[in-house]
Amino acid sequence: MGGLSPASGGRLRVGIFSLTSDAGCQLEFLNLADDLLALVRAVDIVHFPMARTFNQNGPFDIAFVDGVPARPDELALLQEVRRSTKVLAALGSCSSFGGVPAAQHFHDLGDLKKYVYRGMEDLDTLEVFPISRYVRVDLQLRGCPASKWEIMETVTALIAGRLPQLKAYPQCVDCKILENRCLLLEGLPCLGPITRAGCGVVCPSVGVPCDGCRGPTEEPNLTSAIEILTRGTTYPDLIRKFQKFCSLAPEYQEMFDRWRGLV
Amino acid sequence: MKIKLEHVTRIEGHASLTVMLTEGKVHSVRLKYEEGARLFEGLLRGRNFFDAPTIASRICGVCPSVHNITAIKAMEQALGVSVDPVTDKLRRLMILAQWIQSHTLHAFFLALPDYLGAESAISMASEHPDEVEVALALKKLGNDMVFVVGGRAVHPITTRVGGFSHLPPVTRLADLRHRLEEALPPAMRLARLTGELDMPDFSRKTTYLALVDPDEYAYYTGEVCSSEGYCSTPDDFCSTLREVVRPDSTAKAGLHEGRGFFTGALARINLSHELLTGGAGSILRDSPHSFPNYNTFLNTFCQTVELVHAMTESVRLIDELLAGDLVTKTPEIAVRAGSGVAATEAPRGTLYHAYTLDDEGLIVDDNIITPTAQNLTNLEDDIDLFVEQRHDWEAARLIEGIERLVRSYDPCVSCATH
Repeated sequence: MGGLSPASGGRLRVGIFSLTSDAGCQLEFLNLADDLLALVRAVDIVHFPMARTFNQNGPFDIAFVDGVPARPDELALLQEVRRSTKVLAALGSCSSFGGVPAAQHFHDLGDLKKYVYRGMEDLDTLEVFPISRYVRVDLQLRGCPASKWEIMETVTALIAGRLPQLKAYPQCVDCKILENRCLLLEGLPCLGPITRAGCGVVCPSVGVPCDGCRGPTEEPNLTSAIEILTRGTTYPDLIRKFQKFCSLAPEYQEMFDRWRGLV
Repeated sequence: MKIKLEHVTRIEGHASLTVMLTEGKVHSVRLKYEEGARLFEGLLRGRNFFDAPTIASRICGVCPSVHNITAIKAMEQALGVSVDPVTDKLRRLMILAQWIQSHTLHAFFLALPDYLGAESAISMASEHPDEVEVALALKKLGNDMVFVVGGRAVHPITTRVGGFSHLPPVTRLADLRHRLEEALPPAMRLARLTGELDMPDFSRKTTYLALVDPDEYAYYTGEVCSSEGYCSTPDDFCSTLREVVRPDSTAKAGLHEGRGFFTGALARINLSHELLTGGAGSILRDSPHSFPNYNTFLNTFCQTVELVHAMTESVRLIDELLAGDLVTKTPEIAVRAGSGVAATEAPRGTLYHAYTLDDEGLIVDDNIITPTAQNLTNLEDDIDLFVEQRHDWEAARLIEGIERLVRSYDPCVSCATH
């Protein structure tokens, strides 16, 4: 089987698109270092305004979308990219789950704007949602930032004509493989058991509890997790932890609703 | 007639230029930062003091470590926490590493294609393979330094209020030292080359602001000083700096004493160039440019000089760290109400974080002032003068020149619109 058949008949056409974000995920492409040279030898990165002067329009075989559509023109761009792309990948936890900015849903948006812009409320700004609210998303490369390994795996797999092997199991599996000491046993609030693996368990490996930046694993047992986690932290602090990176993940909404009922 | 250039390319984030033409000639150009509001300062309210550094890091993917460490320093001030010298040295190393990574990204990947007639660093790889290889190695080195000390290249993990949760192994630091020494000669060569590039003839004296420390080329300590003789603590400076809110923009614009000012590598070099160490000082002196200098386009060259300085300083810091015991004492943190303001030199200029905490350690008020927002007024003034001086140029050539001018500021739109 050949790979994704290129739109232009030659090499795969790849676009890297930037919506409102910290640009850290698209920067990971430039951080690929040696792999970056390998990547540009294998595919044509025809759209990447952060690095290129001349940026082509579609069709694209693969589009990586970094960030959230926080303005009407960004939403129009996202929809245009979807129309002209075969495989659209959400790059990072902002595009996958709304990221850090999605915590705005725990506040009154008008109050937030007034606080930050000293009374000015009429900003041309959309509420923050994952890109899947607006367009079909084929792949999620989660994390804050997205994993370089998953970026390379995605491109490699699509060239080869297979699905990228993105891990769906929890962080704990990889943590055990690395023989890390378990932070839960030390009473630390580690979200590892309910967070999707794939980052190389970078935080627990240096003694820092997982912050859940890659979002929930498949079918997380939240009830049980909350019971264990609140042994090491207070319930309000645990909720604040879940609010950090992936607060719009559908799996978390029941927990947040219950929390809203309490406060 | 009005034309809009939707995307100033090769910068961090999304900026546009609106160009007003009369009979084919440009008479004014307007720059706009085009990203939505992420409202970080609002989102930080109600959070724990210990969460601010991790969240603030997400303001910017290019300089996350500097946001992270500046937030930590402000929190430690608010809580009256002091840290040991090893902790300070490791934090300094992370800021220098961020300079190495960010300056390499901007000078060689984003700005240099302008002066070598290339479309991008990727297309430079065929004609200038050696230079691109050096630039990639330097970028990797900066990233690896943050990784070794901070646990991850983009968005550090090990840093926290009071110290570090994990210390780098001695062998990894020694390895970084070795790589820094090896990379220094090629980095110096690239810096010299950048100094010899033909830069646009443009000069506009403005106010230059940076941290200044009599003992060193400042980046982690010091007072905020200006080229006009103003000097104050970061705390007092924050109360005199005005961030103007504009009805059509998610980016604020900085004013000091009613005027625009410049912060960044050119300001630091203008104020502290005598304190550059190692080969950095000689690269500056041997270049065809004299300092203080008022040509904003030279900011890119200044970044390459600082790259060399940061590498030399990093070697010195690692030597100091390796000469003693690599252990830190984590201070007891007594949660209390209080306020703290901290400033550091981010790659793009002075960065301020200010927090007020309640007696449970929750943030009740905060303010984050980024270099790109501070520089906006000055950049607009530069654009106006650049256009005025070149009103007889072809529109396309003039717009390209303005794009280069914008790029020379190394603007970070994510930071500006946080």
